[in-house]
Amino acid sequence: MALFIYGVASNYGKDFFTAQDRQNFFLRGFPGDVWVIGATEKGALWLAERGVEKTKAEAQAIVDGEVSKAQAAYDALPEDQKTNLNRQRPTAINLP
Amino acid sequence: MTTYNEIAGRRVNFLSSDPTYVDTNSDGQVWYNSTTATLKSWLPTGAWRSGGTMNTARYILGGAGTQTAGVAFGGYTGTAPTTATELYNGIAWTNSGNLGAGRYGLGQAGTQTAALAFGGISNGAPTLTGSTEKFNGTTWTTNPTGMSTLRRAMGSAGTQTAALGFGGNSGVDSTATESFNGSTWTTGGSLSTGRRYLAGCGASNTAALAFGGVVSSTVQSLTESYNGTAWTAGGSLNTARKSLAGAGTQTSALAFSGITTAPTGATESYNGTSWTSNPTSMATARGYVAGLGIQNSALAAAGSPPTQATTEEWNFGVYSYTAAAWASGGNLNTARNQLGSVGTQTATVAFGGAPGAAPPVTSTELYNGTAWTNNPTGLNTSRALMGASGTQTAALSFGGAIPPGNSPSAAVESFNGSTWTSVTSMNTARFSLNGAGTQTATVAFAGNAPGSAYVTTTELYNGTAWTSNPTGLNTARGGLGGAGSQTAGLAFTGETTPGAFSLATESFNGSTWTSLNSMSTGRNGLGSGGTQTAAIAMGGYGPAANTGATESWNGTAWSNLPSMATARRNLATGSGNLTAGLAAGGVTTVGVANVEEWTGEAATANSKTLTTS
Repeated sequence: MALFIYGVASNYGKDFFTAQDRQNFFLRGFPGDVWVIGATEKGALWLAERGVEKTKAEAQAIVDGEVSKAQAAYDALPEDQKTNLNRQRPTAINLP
Repeated sequence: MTTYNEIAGRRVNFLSSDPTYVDTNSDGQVWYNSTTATLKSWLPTGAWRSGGTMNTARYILGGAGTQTAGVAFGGYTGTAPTTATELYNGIAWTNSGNLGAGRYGLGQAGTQTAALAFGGISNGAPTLTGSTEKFNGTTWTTNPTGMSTLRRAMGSAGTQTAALGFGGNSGVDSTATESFNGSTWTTGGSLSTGRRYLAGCGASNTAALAFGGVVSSTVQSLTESYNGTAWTAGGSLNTARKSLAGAGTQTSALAFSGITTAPTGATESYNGTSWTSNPTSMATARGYVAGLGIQNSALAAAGSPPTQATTEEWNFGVYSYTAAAWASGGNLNTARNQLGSVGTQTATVAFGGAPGAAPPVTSTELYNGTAWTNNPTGLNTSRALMGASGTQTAALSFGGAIPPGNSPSAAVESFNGSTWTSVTSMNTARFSLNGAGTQTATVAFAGNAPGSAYVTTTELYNGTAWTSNPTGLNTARGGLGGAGSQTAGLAFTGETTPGAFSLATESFNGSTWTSLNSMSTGRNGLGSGGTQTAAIAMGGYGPAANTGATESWNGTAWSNLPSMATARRNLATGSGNLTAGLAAGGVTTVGVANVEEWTGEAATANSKTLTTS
């Protein structure tokens, strides 16, 4: 039994997810509008109403692309801005 | 006919609305609500609420003690057996001395300061062990002798000097019972049915209860009671299951969690004869938890699937609890990070910050709890990483990084709800600072000064001028959290040198800083809010990635709370408090406009309507 389902959904703001949703199922947001949702009926319904389901590999590829773009942007910064201003080089993100 | 007055010593009140529940002395109070035309009472029932989050997520672990003085030990993290031992005080978990050997599927007995761990599967190759260890509240000591039958997934009961281990799997599902007297194990009477992943509870090795479990692949409902010599059949569980947990005694037990064909949070109470299903289940269905406590006050710690660090507390009373959680709020109009914010969850002003790595902006937005509105005018000087204090209609922005070159600034601006006005500058230009207080009584602390490392510098503002405080923070840092007021402030976590994060918490009394207990997750670029005795820390970066970690401070210790949905750093400096917080903007891989709203746990006293049926 898969523990999670994966999808892409744009966070439109208020009530995109509610406190009740957070209590009903696991929910985590990642770069590229990727969401990892607990594989429950309520979790699946939440995604179906807000976005498109992806495979884990597809979702991971989207996140990897966003991280790569952010790393390239960081690498292009002047050296004095890399270690200052609370900026860190984005690190790889492995979806659960 | 006996009257209520004769039984309870008080009359049935005639009221137009339900009375206030005061304390347990109110239990059993009966009244007639004339508005709803109902006879009502405060009748205690059981309910689960969220507890503190453990430091090490794991499952199939051991636990002992009570809900307010518990200990959890061992287990499997998902990748390896762990030796981790944690103590619970009813609010938060703290790490303690490790087991001598990592193990899972172990037996458990005793109290927080006199616990016993025995059997299970030990470190390295999956090897059954009979090893027995004693805990004194601080350290574990290996007992010279172990169990005779090496096994895992057993039931257990008793104390450190009178423990019982029964059932489990020793290569086959076992009926074997062993009794511990504080130094050696001896063989006891056998269970009627050999089984594994059963639960146990009981006060000693002469008064224990075994229930549930699995034989082959069939989950069990059977219950057996032990008298020191032999097991006797008891009432069956209503929900057959394995990998469940138990708490309490032989005649006053609680069964909870487990696996049927799927994880369950089902909770049942035992009176020595039969099990009664409770209407409420655990918030998160799971198996393989550590169960401890008594029938009316139990604790379920960790578990799986998936591997958990969360805990839940079971209490018997009139209160039901709505768990604390983050929900999405209205999105900012301008996605950005390193911004300032002050106010409440429903009346916040956010200002400045930088859209990604672009130069800072002056943009100011107002939030009403639903949507953000662009203020017609922005800051006079674009800036990021500033300190902030005050309210939506009386805010103060001080310091920050300004273009060109993101140089540290000492400039201060005052907001009246519609326009920003430049006021007297700080004495020390800096960014990544924080502050606490009001528009006319603020304390600013820490940050980066020009060309220097992080500083401890503390300055006080009285609405007109800034005064350098003679003493600074004990720990120099930047990107830290802040809460409270000018005379009762709080500073916590932050970065001490690039990539090194402090866990330190310090309180301010208007003149000096005092070191307090540490946080769980060191970080910088977090959001924060609240008071010196009730603060919240949310998100940030640390120790090696963006985090959504949320922690609460009660004046003494930090506790882990449910995480934000989206991990982020450099979010708005903070609005709201521990009851109703706000986390706005920040950066994931790019600057975001997303906002999350925090709602703290809420307790509701529930009256019951009495009927004649």
